[in-house]
Amino acid sequence: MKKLLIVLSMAALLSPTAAFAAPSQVHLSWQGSTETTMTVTWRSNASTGEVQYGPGASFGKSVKASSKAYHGSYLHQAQVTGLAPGKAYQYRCGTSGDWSPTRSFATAAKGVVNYRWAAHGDSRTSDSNRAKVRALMQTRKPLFSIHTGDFVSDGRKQYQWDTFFSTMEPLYAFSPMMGSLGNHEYKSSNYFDQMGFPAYTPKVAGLQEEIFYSFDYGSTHFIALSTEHSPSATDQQAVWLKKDLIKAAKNPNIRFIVAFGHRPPYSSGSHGSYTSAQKAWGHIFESFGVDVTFWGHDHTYERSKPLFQGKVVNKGGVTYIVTGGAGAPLYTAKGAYHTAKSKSFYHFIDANVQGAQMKLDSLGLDGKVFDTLVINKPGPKAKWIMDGALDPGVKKLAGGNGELGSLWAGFDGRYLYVASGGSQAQSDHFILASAAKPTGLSAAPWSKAGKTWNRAALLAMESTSGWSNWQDPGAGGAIIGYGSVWKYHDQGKDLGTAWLSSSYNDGSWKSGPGQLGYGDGDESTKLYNASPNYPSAYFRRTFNLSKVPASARLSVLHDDGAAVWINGKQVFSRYMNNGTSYGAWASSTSSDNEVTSADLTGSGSGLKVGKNVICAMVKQRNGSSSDISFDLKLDTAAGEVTGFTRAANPAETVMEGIIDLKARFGSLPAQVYLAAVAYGTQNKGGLTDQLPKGNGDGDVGLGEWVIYPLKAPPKPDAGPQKDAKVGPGSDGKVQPGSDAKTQPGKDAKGQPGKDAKGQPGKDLGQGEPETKDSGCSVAGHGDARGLLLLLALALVARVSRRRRRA
Amino acid sequence: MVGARGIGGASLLLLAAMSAGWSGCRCRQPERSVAEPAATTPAAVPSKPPLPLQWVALEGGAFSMGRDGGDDDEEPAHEVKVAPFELNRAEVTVHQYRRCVVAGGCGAPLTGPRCNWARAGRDNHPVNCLSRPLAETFCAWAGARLPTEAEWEFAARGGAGQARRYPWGAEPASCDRAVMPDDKGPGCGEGTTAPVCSRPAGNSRHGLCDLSGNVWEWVADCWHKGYVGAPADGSARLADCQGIGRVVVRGSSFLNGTVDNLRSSSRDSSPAAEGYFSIGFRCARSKSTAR
Repeated sequence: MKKLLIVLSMAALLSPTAAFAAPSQVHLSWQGSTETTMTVTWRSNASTGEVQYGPGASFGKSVKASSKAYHGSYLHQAQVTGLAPGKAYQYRCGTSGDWSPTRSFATAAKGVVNYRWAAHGDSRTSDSNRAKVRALMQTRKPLFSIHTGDFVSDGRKQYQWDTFFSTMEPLYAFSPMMGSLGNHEYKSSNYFDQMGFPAYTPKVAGLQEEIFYSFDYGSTHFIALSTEHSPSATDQQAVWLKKDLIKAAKNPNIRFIVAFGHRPPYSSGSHGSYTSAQKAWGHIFESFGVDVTFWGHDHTYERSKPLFQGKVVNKGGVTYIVTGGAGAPLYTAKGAYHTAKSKSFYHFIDANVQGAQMKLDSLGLDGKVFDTLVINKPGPKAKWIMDGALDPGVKKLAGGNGELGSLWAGFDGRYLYVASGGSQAQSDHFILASAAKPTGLSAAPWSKAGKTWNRAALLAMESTSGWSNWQDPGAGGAIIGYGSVWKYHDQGKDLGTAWLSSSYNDGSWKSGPGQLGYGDGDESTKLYNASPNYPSAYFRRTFNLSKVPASARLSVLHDDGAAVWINGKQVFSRYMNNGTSYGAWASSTSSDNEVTSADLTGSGSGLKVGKNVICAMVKQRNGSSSDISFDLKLDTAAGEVTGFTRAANPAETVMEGIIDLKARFGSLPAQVYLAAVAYGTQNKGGLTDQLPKGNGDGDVGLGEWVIYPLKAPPKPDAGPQKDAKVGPGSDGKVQPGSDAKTQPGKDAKGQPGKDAKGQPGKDLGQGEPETKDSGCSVAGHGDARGLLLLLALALVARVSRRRRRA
Repeated sequence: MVGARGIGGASLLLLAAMSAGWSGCRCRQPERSVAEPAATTPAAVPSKPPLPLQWVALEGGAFSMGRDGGDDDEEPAHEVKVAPFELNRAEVTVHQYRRCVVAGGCGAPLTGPRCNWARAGRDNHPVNCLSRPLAETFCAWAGARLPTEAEWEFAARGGAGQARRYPWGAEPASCDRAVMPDDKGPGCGEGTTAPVCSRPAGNSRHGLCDLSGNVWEWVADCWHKGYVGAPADGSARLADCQGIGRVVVRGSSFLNGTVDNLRSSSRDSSPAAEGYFSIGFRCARSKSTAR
């Protein structure tokens, strides 16, 4: 109460003409290109104003502001245009004899791939806390920042804005701030008057500009959204968002996509998840490759695990970060299934983009980083966009007169693209693709209904029901599943290499089901937690095989380092650069429960008929690390399906009409067999739900398959690229830090140098920065980690018949 | 860890001490457990003897609830008169909750990382990952109800006329007294909840365990930011609520939060319909219905 009185009495003392000794509350933003423009906003007592700017302190150029009487003084805003990209300018604002101090700003360099920015939110209520966070942000020198809303407690009260912009001026006068609307702004005109953000296009009647917008900085596309306008999947904002994302997907310079807004779609904080935003935008983010999103509202820090359709996934998910720690009273995150890390503290996010990597550190007032998310997106950008239009460069295939008529296909050495025609409105539609010659019916690993087509193909679809059943057709082919019982040795003893032998007697070892470990609280079997930590723990398990699979996918959950041997042959390692001796520490700290996968093919797998012994060693990073984790699965059918995307509009998720399919191969078959089929009854779930009870017979006539030959990819140019900037986004799909690491890294061992089809064995996999790209076609993903099966695919129901009629 | 192994013993000792008669406490002793149906527990054999549901009686009286000059949601400090009531000594455990599930009286909590339900070795941990309606159902099944926010703070403050900063007194919060995040991470470095009553040094004036720390606890009140217009008779605030489905939680948790969250008057909120791994509960019953 006391504080308020002081503020009021000060306001009373100041006459309008004495409100500002000099131009004040100066803040920068972008209404136009980050490369060639800069918007300056300030307050002063003068009725007019201008910005003087130039490469030096003599400025040389000026631009007049638009000025208006505002809360007893004047508000000025000027957009400086025609700037040179990547240049620093000095500037001042005001009028003759009444200038702000001279300061500097910088434009974005064209195609810049190395830059630092910041995210912050909920700076309301406590000016002293927000000043501390602002000072902390200054230490990292962000080139610009995004703000997730709730700048002040009550946006209708100008004195709160005056305090806010004065406190933030030491940062915002040098580094543009791009914000999104919070509930505490109360949609006040004060917000729109004082901010200078881009207008969305096309303008929607009755919907204010600046409530949502996007901008590019170097290799990142930023999208500001309004959670304060009752978002829905069919409203104008969603329509704009989808269009904006398609544009970003087609922009070869964009590697990362970041969205931000106020109320978090996923949070376990005091407000919880804002489900309207989940429903409105979740699937759009997933469909169009948004990497990471930032929110506020809950005054805490919380990072979600990668989420896809509300479920935690290893690949292809969107990460939701709540960053509400820039001043408002702190809340706590209560912890939900989607929570990866959370902390109740004043902080901001220090974002550092270096080529193909975006690193996001949550930095507290103590100067310590609490959590780091690393997003790696090496490789070329996908050529085809799942946007409901037939993409250029695909050709119509002969034959294939199945239920859905013609098929179109394209291939760029990395992605298979398929589109089908549409008919059979009373059925559900699927695209099937197979690397092997299709045969008749047999048990498919993903089929819960019995027999269906048994190839690793995929498909599409469909209404929300049964969707999740399609996510992992490989799960049915498990040799070893997560949660299996392992023998383990956690007593800190050096067992040399004897324990790797098939004949080693592990009878005295303890046993327990995965996950094994300590310190995270999610362990089924708790390992001994020595202090200081023991460097290594040992795990063994036997299993029998009646047949050696052509390929198998190994997925290891590890914290920190891990190595795996099958029948004495090392087939996997991660963070084991210090070696596999007992006393060596892991060479890096992993994420919590990091999962890394490797594909084992041919003799490289070490698998044999009969009894097999699999051994694993898990290493701590150091003596004081708080946790260790291990679990493992081994699947024969490596048709791990990820990256399904469905149409942005829920009404389109029923695939009546044209559908797209985009698939990425682990390694290249010589040809693929494609079919587009209609099964069952419209809107009755996925293939597994339809068969055999639907009206389709579950089979695809052999005559309905089209053979599509895959050309060998062009060889990559020799010589390293200057930087990785030319090859944005691998597939337009998300690869959050944890999952960027799901790709075998440098130290994945035991891979033959050639894949099964004899493609060049160059290591151009996702785990490595792409060394070349000249647009799109590149680089066979011919590395031998791959399998004959599809690794990832994305598809979208395109124009639905219903919509076309409408 | 070694500490965790010691905790079981400590809580057993404590139980023995309590059944032998608690000294230095004016409250009635926990003397009985509720009638529990025969356990046909299919799940894991408890690793430690399960704790029965215990009740601690608190004499009613007046106390100052809330705090001025702190977080604005704790303002204003105001006098509240609380009728005599009984409160569970500990947060409801997995074992205790399972009895209700087995008897068909309660729905199962969520499972998943850091959820204690259906996890070996967690029988004496607080049940977590459950919505407030599930907590209410359990309490009703046990012939009780959730405590009101006023009752909860009354207990944490130490009873009539008391004003303990923390349930244990004025000593700073530490892992000796509360299952809380510390430099080693959540749960004093264990990353999870601890068995209930693992920090006897943090017990309240009435011998209540884990009022601060371990898990947040659902109470009966819906969320309102601050106490303007709050009832002064110890009843739950159910009108004029803020946020849709947002209700009060008390007592902080192992997971995150600041030392400030462990104070007796600290408050937070959460959506009632969701289960989280840092929220559990304990039950209360009014003296008139207490046997």
